[in-house]
Amino acid sequence: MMVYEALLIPVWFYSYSTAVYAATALISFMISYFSFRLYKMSSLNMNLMMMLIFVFMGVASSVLATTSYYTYMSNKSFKLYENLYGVVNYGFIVYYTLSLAAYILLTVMYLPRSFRDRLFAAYMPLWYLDFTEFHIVSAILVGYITLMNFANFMKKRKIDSLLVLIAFAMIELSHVMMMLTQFDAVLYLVAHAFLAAGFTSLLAMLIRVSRK
Amino acid sequence: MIEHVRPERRSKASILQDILRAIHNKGGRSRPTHILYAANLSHDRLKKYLESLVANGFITKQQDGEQTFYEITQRGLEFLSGFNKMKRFFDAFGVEI
Repeated sequence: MMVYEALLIPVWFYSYSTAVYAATALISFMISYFSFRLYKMSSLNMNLMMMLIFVFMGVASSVLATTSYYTYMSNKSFKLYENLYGVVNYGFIVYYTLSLAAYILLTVMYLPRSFRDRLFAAYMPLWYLDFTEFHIVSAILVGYITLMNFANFMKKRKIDSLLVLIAFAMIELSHVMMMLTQFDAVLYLVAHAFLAAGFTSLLAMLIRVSRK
Repeated sequence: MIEHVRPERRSKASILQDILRAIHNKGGRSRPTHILYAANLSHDRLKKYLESLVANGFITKQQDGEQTFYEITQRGLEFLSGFNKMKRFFDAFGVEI
């Protein structure tokens, strides 16, 4: 069995991740509010589902923004994995659960209609509520969503579709980088840069779509 | 060789838009027969969609003697104007509404 040395994450990294998670939370809430307005206008359930997905993402990011800030304010370096056994641990559990719930709902949206009801329960086991497992499962789910968005972009060739494709590709890379953080702490910064780029791309799509 | 192309299936949202547009194009008030032709629906499906639209407040059902009319409401007009935004949003994600 391979044993990894826990890496020392400099405290200032957490100020950076606090800013990134706060920004992703804000963008998520903006998209969920947009979906809510569409739901009020149309009464179509797909809007409600989209709203729920981004509320989950928004709350998950808010929780991590809070825990990152908490860690930053503790004003000392500590080992990444030891950190999971403090107050921050609860934040991560909320983040894992809500992020996975959001990814699962998104995956279900891309399933053919006939599969949507039957396969839903198959995704729900909770064994992956741990750092590495969470990122592996997330990378698989977001990878599937990215592939579906790639197919959508190839079919439509529209800028809005390209922006969503870029967003999910960046979120995918963010999860992959997070998995590799155990090898090099700098990848923690790279992962957050990908996450920020992904949500910026979603924000650009939202601005374009809501303009007209 | 003749290639047979299956027409793309309309989503529920597109059908609702077609019905509302059919009513709107008739000055906001229309008979079911006109809606049936304009929205290209069978009688049974049209009945189902009209009931749903009435229940959600997008149209109202009115009786004028023997004849039935459907009138678009403010909410229905808002749906028509916001539909393109919604379509673009879901198109960007590649999700059918």
